Amino acid sequence: MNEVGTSLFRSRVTALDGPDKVTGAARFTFDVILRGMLHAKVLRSPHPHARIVAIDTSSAEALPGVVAVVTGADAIKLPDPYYGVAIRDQPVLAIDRARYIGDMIAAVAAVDEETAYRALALIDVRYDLLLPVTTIEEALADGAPLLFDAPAAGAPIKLGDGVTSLKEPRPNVLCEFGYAKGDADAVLAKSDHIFEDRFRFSRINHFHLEPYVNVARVTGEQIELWSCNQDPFVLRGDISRIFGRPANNIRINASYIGGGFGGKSFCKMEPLLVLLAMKAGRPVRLCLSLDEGLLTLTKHAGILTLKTGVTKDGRLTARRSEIQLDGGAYSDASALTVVKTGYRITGPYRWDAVATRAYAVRTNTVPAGSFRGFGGTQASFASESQIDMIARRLGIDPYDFRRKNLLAVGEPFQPGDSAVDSDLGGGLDEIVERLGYRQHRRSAAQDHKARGMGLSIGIKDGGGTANHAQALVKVLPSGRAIVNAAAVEIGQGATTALSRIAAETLKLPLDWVRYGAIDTDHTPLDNGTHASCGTAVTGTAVMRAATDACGQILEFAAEQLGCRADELQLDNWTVRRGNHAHPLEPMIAEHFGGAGFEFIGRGMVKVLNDPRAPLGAASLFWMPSWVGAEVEVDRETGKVRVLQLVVGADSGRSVNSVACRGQVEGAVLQALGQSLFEELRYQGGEPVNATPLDYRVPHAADLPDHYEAVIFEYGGPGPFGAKGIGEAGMLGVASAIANAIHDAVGVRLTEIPFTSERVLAAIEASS
Amino acid sequence: MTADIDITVTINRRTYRLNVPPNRIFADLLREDLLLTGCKIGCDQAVCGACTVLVDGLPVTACTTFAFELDGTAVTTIEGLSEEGMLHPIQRTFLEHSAFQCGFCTPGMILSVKALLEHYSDPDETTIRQWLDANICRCTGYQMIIEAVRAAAKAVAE
Amino acid sequence: MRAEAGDGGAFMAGGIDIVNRMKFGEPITEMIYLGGLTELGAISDTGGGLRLGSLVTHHQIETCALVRARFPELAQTWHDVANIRIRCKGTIGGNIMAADPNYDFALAAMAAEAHLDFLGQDGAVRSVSAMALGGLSAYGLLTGITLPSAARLRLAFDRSLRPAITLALGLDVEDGKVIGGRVAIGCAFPAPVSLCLPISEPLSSREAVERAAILARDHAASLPEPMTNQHASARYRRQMIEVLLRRNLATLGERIT
Repeated sequence: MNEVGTSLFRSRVTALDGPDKVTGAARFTFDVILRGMLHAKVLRSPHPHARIVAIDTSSAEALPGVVAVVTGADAIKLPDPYYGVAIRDQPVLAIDRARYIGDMIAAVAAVDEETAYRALALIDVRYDLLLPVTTIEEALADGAPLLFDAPAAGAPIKLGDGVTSLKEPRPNVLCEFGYAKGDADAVLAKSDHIFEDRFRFSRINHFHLEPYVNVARVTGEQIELWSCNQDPFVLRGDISRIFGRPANNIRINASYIGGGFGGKSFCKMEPLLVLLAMKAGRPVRLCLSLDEGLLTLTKHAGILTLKTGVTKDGRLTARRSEIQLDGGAYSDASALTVVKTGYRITGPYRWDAVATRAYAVRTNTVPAGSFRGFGGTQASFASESQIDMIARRLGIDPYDFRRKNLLAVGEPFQPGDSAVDSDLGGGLDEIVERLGYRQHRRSAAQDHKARGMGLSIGIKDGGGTANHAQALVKVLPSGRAIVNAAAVEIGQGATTALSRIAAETLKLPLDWVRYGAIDTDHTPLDNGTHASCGTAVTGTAVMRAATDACGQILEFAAEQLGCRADELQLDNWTVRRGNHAHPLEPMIAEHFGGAGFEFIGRGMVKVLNDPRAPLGAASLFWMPSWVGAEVEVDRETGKVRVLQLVVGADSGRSVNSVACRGQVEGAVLQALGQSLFEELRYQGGEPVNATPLDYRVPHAADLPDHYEAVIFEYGGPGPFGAKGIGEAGMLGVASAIANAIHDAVGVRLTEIPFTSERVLAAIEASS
Repeated sequence: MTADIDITVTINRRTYRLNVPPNRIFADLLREDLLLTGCKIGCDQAVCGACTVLVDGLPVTACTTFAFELDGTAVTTIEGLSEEGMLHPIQRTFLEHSAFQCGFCTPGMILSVKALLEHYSDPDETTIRQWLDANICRCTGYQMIIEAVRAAAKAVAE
Repeated sequence: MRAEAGDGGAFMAGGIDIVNRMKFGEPITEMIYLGGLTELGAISDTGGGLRLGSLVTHHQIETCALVRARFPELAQTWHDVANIRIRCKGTIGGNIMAADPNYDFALAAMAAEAHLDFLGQDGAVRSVSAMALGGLSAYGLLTGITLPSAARLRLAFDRSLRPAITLALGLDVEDGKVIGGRVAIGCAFPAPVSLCLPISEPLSSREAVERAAILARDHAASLPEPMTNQHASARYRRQMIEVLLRRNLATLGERIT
C-alpha cells in the first residue's frame, strides 16, 4: 500500500473486531434470538401504482401458527405514521395506496418463517390500478398522475442564507434546492464558449450481505429493538414520534452491522416491526431477503444537465446546472441528497458564477436514499465527464485543463464555506505519475482493441453538515478502558479507530481499550454513522472524552501525591512526576478500596451553525477522490476492460492506514461495478433484475489487472489531523473510465453503465 | 412427506447422529440446532457464498444444501478451523492483512480459501481471483483478501 | 427405479436449481434424489470419444485427465464456468435438463453433436441427438451424454460477452480438412439454439480462415431473431454472433492440421 505523508500511527494494528470476525464469533443483528420470538414476513405490492380498496386478512389470521397480522388500518391509528428525512411521506405500512412494486402492504408474525409465508398468500388485497409514472420525464409531464393527494408532513431542509430549499414545489416534485453565486447567465453570455451537456446516472442497490434484519419486543411501556440500523439515535427519535412514546423508554440495541453503505441509515421497516410486535404481544424478528432489500432502497438515478462557460484559453467561468434526481416513491433521504448533489456539482474548481437547481422527482419505483457518496457520485460523474469534454473541445490536455482551474488549499469551496484542505493539484500529480499518464500513446485506429487513459477528481464535503456527537470514555482501576460512542461498526473500522484515538490520548496500549456495546440507554448520542463522520466527528468527541478522563486521572493522582496536576504525565497507566513513576492501580486501590473507581470522561463536539455558509454550516472537511483509469476497448464488440485503476484519497492523517486503504478499495470496486454493469433495471414500473441471481455485483474476477489505492495525508480537523475517507472511492471512478474510453476510441458516453452494447452503439454512431 | 431421515455426519471432527426432515436445510440445522452461528446467510440462494462450508473439503453453500445430503460426509465450519484455541494460518493472515471489514462474508470466505489452498499449494493471482469468484464481498474490493491468501499459502506450506 | 417424477415431483442431482425453485415457491412435494446412483457419475472411454454420466459434475469436466486429453478446450472452458462451488456440486445432466439458455453444457453437447441417453418410463433407453434439444423431460431420465471421437472434432467456446451471448463451435475434421460443423448459441434466445454451419465442401485450414467472415455472416443471418432483454438487444446479439463466430472460426481454422 502506498502512503504519501507522515502519520503518527505508523504501526500496523490488528483490527479489534478482527478475532471475532475471523472465527465466526462476531454477532450481528442477524444472530439475535429472543426466547419466544416470532417470525415476520411482509406482503408487498405487485403493482407500481394502485389504490388499496380492501384488505381481508381473516384467512391469514386463522392459519394455525399465525399470531398477528397488521395492515394500513393499524398504521393509521398511530400518532404519526409517517417517516422520512425532513419530509415525511412514507407510511409505516401502505394506508390507502401502493406506490411501487415492493411497497409494504401488510405484515404477518407467525411461529416460523414458513407459516408466515403461507399466511401472506392468504391475505386478500383488492387493488384499483392507477396509472404509474416510472421515469422522471413521465412524472413531470403535464397531467401526469400524482403519487400524493396531499402535502406531506415535515419542512424543507434548513440551509444558509440565500439558498433555496423548497418542499413539494410542484406536482410530483418532492423538494428543490437552489444555489446561486453571482449572475451565472450574465457571465455565461460573456464567455468565449458555452457547452451544454446532459448526463444520465443509473440506480444501484447497496447489496449489503447482511439483509435488513430487526427484532422488536414491546413489553408494557417499553419498546426494545435490536436493529441493523446505522443510526440508532435517529431511529429512536422516529419510533418515539411515530408511536407517541417517550424516548427514554425506547431502547435500540446495535450489533456489528454486516454492511450498510447508507442503506441502513434512517428509518426503514423498524416501525412496522414495532407495530407488529405490539399487536403480537411477543418479540418478533423481521429478516428481509436480499431480494426484498433490492426493493427497499436504491441510490438516486438522475439526469444532470450542465451548461458551462469557459474562456478560449480554458478558464472556467460559470456553470448553470439542472439536476433531476429520481427519488422513487417515497422521500427517505432524498431531500438531503438533492441538496448535496446540487451543492457538489461545481466540483473542485474555481467559478466566477454558479446557478444550480436540483430537485427530486417522485416516481412509482423503489425509493432512493442515502448511498455512499450521497449525491457526490452523481455530481462527480457529470462534472468530471464534462470537464474532459470541454478540455478536448478546446484542444487542451485534460490534465492541464484541470490544473488550471483547481481550487487551491485555503480557497473557500464557495463563499461562506470552509476552505479546501487537500492539495488537489499535488494529488492529481501523484496519480498521473503512478498511472503512467505521460508515457501512454493512443492506439492506432486500425487496432481492434484500443487503449486509453482518463483522469478525474471527484469531490464532496465530508463529515455531515452542522454535525455533532457525544462520547464517554471509562477507565477502569486496572487501566483498561471502554469507549462508549454510537458510531456503529459497519466495517469502516470505527471500533479500531475510535479505540486507537482513546488509547493514544490516554497513553494506553491499544489492546487495553475496548469499544463498548451500543444501546441508546447507555451509549451517548450520535447523529448517525454516515457522511464519513466517524473519525472526524465521533472521533473528536471520543478524544475530548479521553482528554477529560486524563484530566480527572491527573487531578486524582495530584491529590494523592500532594502536587499539582500539571507536574504529572500519564504513561501506560503510570503517573510520572519528574523521574518518578507512580503506578495508578495501587493508588486507586489504596484510596477507594472495594470495587475501586472508574474515571468517566465526557466529550462532545458540535460543528457550529453558520447562516453565511450555503449549507447552514461550514463544511467540516473536503473529500476529494483522484482517479486515473486505463481501459482497453474492443472496437468490434464495445467491450470495455479496465486495465488500471489508481485512486487517491485524503485521510487527513490515517488513524488506521490499512482501514483507510480498505475503505477506498471497497468503494472503488462498487463504483467500478456501477460504471460497467451493475444496475437495478426497470421496465416501466417493474424491476427486471431484483434478485441476487440477476443483480450482478462485482466479484474478485472483476478487479483490474493493476489496482492501487493511494492514501494522502494532507491534514484535517479531526483527532490528530484526521478526516473521513469512507465515501471517497465512489466519487471519480465512472467519469475517469468515461474519459479513458473517450481517449481510447474517441466516443463519449454520458450514460452509465458503459455496457458493451452502449459503447459499440457510440462507436458506430461516430463513424 | 417422507418420514425423517437418519444421517451421520462429522462436523468439525465431531460425529453427530441426527434425525432430520427431508426438506431441512443444512444452514438452518447448523445455526438453529447445533448453534454454529458462524455460518451467515446472505442471499439464501447460492449466489453470495456467505454461507459456504466445506463438505469433504469442497466448498458448498449450506443455504441450498439439504441436511440429508450430508450423510456420511465430513463438514468443516468456521468454528472448526482453530484447534485448541490456536487460530488457523488463514485466520491469522486474514487478521494480519485486514482482509475483512464488516465480517459477514468472512467465515464463508475463509473456508473457501481453505479449500483453495488444499487444491493449489501456491496459487497465483488469477487462480485466487477465479476461485474467490464464488464469494461475494461488498466491502473490501477483494485486493486485501487476495494478499492475505498469498500470505496464507506460504504459511500453510510451512 | 422409476424414471418419472410426476406432478409436483422433480429429480434432484446436484441440487443447484431445485432448492432455489422451492424457495421461490414452486410446489415440489416429491423429490427423487439421484445422488446415490454413483454409476451415473462416471466418465468412460468409448474408444475415441467419451461417455459422460449425467451426474458428472462440472468440476470433473474441468479436472478429469481423460477429458483434458481428449477435449482440452472443453476442460479449459469449464474451468471458468460458474464458480468453484457450483462446479463441484452441479452436474452436467442437471445443467442440460434445466433448459436454461444461460447454461453452458447444452451448448457443448450441441457443438459436439453429442448423443443423450434417456431412460424412459417404459424402462427402455433412447438415444437422442443433442441437436434435437427441446422438450427433453418428455424422454424420461437423462443418464448419459456421449461425445463423439475426439480425433474428428475440434471445439471452441467463447463466453467473453456473457450474458449477451455465449457461443460454442464444433468443427468436424477429416484428413486435415473441415467437412462440417455446428454453432450453438446461448443467452441470445429463449432456449439454446444450434445450427449446422453451411459448409458444402471440405475446407483446408487456410480456406477455413479465409472464409470465416462469410461463413459467420451467412450463419448469423440464417438464425432466428434473438431476444431483446435487460442484458442486450436483438440487434446487438445478432451482430455479436457474427463477430464472435468469425473470430472463433478463424482461430479454430488456423489450428486444423
